[in-house]
Amino acid sequence: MSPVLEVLRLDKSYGKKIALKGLSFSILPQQIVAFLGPNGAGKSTTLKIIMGLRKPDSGILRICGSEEHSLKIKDQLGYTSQDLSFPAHLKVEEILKFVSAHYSEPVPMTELTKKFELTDLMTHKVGGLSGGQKRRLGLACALVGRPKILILDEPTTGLDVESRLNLWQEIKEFKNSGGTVLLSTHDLNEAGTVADRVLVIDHGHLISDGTVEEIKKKIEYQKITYEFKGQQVLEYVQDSDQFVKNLVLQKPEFKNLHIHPSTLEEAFLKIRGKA
Amino acid sequence: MNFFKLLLTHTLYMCLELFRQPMYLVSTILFPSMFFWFFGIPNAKEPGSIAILSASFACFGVLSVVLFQFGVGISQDKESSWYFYLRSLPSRKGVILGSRVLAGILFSMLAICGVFATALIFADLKISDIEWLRLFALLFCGAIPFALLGICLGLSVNSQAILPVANLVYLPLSFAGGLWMPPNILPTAIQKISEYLPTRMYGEIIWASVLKREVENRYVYGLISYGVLFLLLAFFLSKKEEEKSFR
Repeated sequence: MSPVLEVLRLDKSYGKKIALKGLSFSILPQQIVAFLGPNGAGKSTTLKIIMGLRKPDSGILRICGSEEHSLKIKDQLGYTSQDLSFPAHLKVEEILKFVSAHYSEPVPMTELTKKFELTDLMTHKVGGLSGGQKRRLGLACALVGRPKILILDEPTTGLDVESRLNLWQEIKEFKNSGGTVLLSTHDLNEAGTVADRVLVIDHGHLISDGTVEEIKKKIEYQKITYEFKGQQVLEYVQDSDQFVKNLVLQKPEFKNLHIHPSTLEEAFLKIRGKA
Repeated sequence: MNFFKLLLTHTLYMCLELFRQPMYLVSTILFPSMFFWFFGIPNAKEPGSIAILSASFACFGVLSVVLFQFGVGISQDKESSWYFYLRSLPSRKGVILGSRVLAGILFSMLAICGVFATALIFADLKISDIEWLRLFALLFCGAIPFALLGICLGLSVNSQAILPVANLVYLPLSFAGGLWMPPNILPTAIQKISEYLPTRMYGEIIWASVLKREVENRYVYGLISYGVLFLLLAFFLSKKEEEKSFR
């Protein structure tokens, strides 16, 4: 099977700031791929390059076999950006009509509104929608043109638990109907519930590529704090059970032990320190 | 999708969004007519001054639309993900900026018509006195440098500050450029500066048109030079903006 999306040695810098440094990966059809990395790793930049919103300094981007970012290619892509906003004074119905005007065979309005529970909101102005409702509208917009590839930049930002579950449901359905998804996130557990594969990016290049389990082994850390002889100690470890066993044996007078899952940012600091 | 159909669709929704904001309509379309009524009409006694003053306030109206449409609009766009989203949709280059220009022309028309309607009602302007087609063409062409200035402001000022900044730019510029009162009754110091302002050049071109006189070349070339300057600055700033938007 040939990849639907290929990125080869992408470089991009903004002035002196380097956003991407030789980033390469490829995605096969009907994969759900999570793009994981701390803030500023280059996730959004990559997604924007894929969407044709930014030009890479060098490197190759191939979508559905084409290196040219033509209208035909844009037709195949559906996108939601990180912080959704809409013109506040337009109605839900108008936004959907506006977006569908860009496609030759858009999904019929009624089908779309039913699926995303927007039917009762059609005459509401977008400015008054809740975060979850806006996300649903954003996803409806991304799917209205019957895309082959869905690019979602941190799609769960501002979503409650229920909307999150619905979103995963939609993404899986999209995959089952033949679609490919690339979504960015900085929550590994979130990626685990939906993604077939995780790409880990840091400082603009790929540092890991594998299944959720494989990636967890590499980058999941526990943050451990305790007091020892009046001093506060902080450590990041991968196997907290083993750590605690050792701690009890070696420093039995420890006090106030706490174990938390580390954030992605903390895990990356730890990984960079090791390298 | 057909370019023009899509261009019109974009323009339609942009206008819809703007028409639903009464404050936008008041400040861009009503203000010029109102200012004209307050400050222009009392001095418009004979045909020459009626024509000059209505032309001046028409310029002022176009200026306010253009600076709001491009300055405020672009400043808000560059921080809005909606604009990014629009650019990700399959549409040809030029549709988004094109719709901004078309909407700008439409709103400018309304502002200009408002001013001349005021002149017809309160100041006895004769419709046959003016070559309308030529006047509208000059008003729009002369507005291009200001649209570019608007783009520069929009790119360099954030959306919270853009409203006061736009006002700070266009109110003094229109006053010192002689758009509120004839340049020869401005304070002497301002008269000297006035000669070099783009608003004065714009005004001179439009006044010459309504008075059916030849315009001095230096005003035309001056305004074109401002246009080139703002164009270059806009290019530079858009490059810089791309760097800044990286997080």
